[in-house]
Amino acid sequence: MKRYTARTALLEAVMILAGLVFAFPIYILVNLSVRGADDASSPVAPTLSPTLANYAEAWRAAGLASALVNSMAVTVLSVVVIIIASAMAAYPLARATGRWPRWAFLLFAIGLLLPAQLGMIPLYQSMRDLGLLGSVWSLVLFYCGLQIPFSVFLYTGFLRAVPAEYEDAAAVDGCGPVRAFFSVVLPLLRPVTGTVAVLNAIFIWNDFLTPLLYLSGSSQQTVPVAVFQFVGQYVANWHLVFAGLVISIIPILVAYFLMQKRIIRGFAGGLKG
Amino acid sequence: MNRPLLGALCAVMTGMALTACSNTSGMSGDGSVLRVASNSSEKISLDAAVAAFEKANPGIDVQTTYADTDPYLSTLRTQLSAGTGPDVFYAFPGNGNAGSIQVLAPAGYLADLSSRSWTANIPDSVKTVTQVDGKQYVLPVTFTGIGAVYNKKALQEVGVSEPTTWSQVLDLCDKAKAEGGYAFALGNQTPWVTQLIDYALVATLVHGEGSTFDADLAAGRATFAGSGWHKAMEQYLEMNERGCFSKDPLGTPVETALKQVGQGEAVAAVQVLATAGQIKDAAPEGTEFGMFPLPATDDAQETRMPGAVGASYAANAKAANAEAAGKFLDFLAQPQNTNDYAAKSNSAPAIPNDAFAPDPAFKALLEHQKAGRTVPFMDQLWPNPKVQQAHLSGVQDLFSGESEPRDVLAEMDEAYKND
Amino acid sequence: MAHAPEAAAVTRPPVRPGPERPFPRRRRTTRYGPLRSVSWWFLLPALALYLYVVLAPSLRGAGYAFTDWTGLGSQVSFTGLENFRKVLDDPAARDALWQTLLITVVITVAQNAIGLLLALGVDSRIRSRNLLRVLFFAPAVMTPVVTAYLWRYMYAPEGAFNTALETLGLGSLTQNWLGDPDLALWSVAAVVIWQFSGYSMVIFLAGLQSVPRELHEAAGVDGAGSFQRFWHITRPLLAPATTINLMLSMIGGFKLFDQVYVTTGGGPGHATETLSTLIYKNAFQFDEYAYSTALAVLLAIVVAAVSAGQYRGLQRQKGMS
Repeated sequence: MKRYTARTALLEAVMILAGLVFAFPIYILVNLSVRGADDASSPVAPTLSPTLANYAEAWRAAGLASALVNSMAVTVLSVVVIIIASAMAAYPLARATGRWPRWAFLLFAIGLLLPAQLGMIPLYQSMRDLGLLGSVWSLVLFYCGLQIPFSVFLYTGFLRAVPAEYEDAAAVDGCGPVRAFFSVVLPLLRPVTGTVAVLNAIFIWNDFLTPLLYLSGSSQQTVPVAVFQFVGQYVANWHLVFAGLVISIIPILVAYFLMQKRIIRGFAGGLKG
Repeated sequence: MNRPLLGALCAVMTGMALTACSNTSGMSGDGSVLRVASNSSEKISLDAAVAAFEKANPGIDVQTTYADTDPYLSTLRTQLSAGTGPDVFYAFPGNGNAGSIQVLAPAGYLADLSSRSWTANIPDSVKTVTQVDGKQYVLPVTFTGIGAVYNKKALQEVGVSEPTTWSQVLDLCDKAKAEGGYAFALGNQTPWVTQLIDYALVATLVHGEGSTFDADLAAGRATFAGSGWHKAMEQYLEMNERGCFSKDPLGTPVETALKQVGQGEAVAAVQVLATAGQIKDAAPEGTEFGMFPLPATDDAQETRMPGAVGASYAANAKAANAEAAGKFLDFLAQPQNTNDYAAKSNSAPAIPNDAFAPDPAFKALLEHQKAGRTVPFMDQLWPNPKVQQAHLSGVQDLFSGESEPRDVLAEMDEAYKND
Repeated sequence: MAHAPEAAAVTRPPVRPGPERPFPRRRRTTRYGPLRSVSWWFLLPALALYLYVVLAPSLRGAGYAFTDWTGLGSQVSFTGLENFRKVLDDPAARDALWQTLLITVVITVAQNAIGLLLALGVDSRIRSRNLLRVLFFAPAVMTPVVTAYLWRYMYAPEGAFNTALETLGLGSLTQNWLGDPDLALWSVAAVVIWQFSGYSMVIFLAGLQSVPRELHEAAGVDGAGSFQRFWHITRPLLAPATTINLMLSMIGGFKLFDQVYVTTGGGPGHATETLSTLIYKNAFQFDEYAYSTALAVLLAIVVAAVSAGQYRGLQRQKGMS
């Protein structure tokens, strides 16, 4: 099975076909976004004289520059806090003995099940009382809390699968739990951290209703909010709308391309058990 | 953490610091910031009005937020209930919608605008949907209608003129079809679009000369089921069977339908006239458009047109910046500014003035308005949002063959009474 | 591609026995070895954030389910279980519940089946494997409202799908994708499946790294013989990946909102109405906030019950294999 056989070639053909099917919507999106306004040919046909004019127009009309900065700030800050807090929580959940870690884990698991609509209005009122409305900090706080259950879930599963002998050794060497966490556990968690970071970043970057609610009335907005305001205004001008949509997903796609090896590796580490 | 990631983090932190600085005013009641929220469809008109206002009032910084109707309603309601609503916001005239003044005013969220000087100029027909218990709660800015917006060249190619009777409408359908096109683009996948043709037809069939239907309905003396609504729905379906509409209306979203008219694949679309701007957006440069009211009977004299207050702005009863809010509404109420706003949104001023020069394509609306031949959008007088919802999903069920007109009307009656 | 966790990079200190703890405790043993003194306070930051942002507001929100609050104004009165009684009588809620279950099952099954096939396919010697891995996962990083909007365009009667089918000479297969009430729910499910199969693929792919290479590669390519090998060797080793995948796709299916709302808004009629869209409409369009929270509580209970059942089932299966 080490060689490239006829069977492999057949598999390759089948997989490429599947790839084409998956790529079709993306092709349509990009193909129409580079089309001039009066090109009325079939959406499937490749655009013969592509133009970037739509991109320039969308960039200008949607005011995406500041939205991109906001989205990046919210995403990076939230992800950093989520990683630290969830990794810390996973440590006792995976390692401590007794019954309470089990219950605590279940308590976090409940967070995965709750529909977002349930807490929406009370949480909004809490943010108001904290004076955070209209600032990106409300979003950072929101995503940190919201994504904790999922991240704790991944970290705990991963850590349970990793043998504890390193920490034991550290403890034996006189390391306190804090030092053991930062010098032993956190490095151990590195592979799954890539996964946690990317999955959370995708979710946070793409969220729409929350930033609309928390930032409305301020001069700040995130990318999806800016883009959908723009879509609502130019509904029937497909080419322009699609260019705006492409711009909005480019940063996250680039981040994914750069990190894709790491993501799979992270998952792999977590699933050894 | 590796180097590039750290670099990115630093860059982001710097960005944060910068944005944090530029936002020192935050959400507090700073006298220089006025927060305004509106529907995405109003963006072009309102942005222009805001720019003019800021120019005239250099000390005031207006921050606008836009969203489509559904997300707009959810954010607005959440904010109002938490006491953090915008100072000035788009509110829906009349009733029948979760963001309408009949819903918002009794809950105490709207400032009473009765003492503003412009209230004196509001026509009585407009007052009915902009007042609650005799108090003025919104500034009505535009007056819009529902009619058939058509592509002039496409109509010419079909070889007919603007239909003025129901038979001519059907004739238009047949001829357009024979030419290989469609008479009407219809995007019934988008829920709010489904109601437009019904509204256009019942304006004539139910709300004709001397009709007391609304009052009778409210008093329980009439029902949808036994009214001209039934005939309207049957005619709506007749148009469908006759091939008046573009292919598969139920699978067509509104933006596709608008584009079909813009590109001339369909002759017309029965739409709220304010969307004409979006149709033009989708059309090649230089395409000309016109509008005719959709006839429902064979007597052209009977034809009426749904015409109603469109964009309306309310001031928050607990506005952080009440003074600027009042100033902004007064500014918007000045004829010149109202006219600019109306012109940019393809509508007429809700408070009429002689200085308004209508787009010739839409002057039929002004003529109907002047002659008193318009009737308010039906849902503006319905007691709760569920009647409209029953109508919207009901029409979709009609088109998929899951329901009959009388089932849909029975559901609407049910929702109407269930208040 | 077989990766050991990067743990190997950490220098391994020699494991010495000995009671060096300053305050020796009674020794218990866990399956990980001897007891370590891991403090509960490590939980605090995560717990505080979680309680403040998720749990407390949700509980307070659930309280509205026992009132008649419309969503506006200060008039609230306690109505006990009235809203829940209304839920049980409401045919719209029943239909939405049924459609939610249906779309969840369809998405969970299809997304994982496709994800597994894709994972087996790209975990082979094919030359395009790296490119395809990126491609299959790309939809998963896109904004759900954006993908839904794109698909709504493509599903239009003369949109990209029907045009493509006609171009390929398959004109007879063209459909009224979102307008046919019998098809709409499936069309919406397809959007989600397209978007998240790559997500499942990545998780399965990771799981495959723990399976001896020759075995599953053969399983991916061969006929019946290797299917047997797949079933008996690869599949049990994929159990942890399967568990995570099933849980995530199922919870995602139950909470599905953006894709439904943007493509069909719950229509035509109510053919694609799910609990999430119904909750949203009641909360912000019908002036029935309290009723919407009762629906949300119901949704939470359904998700909890199904996930608990699923978790048990998977545990039992694990016990057997």
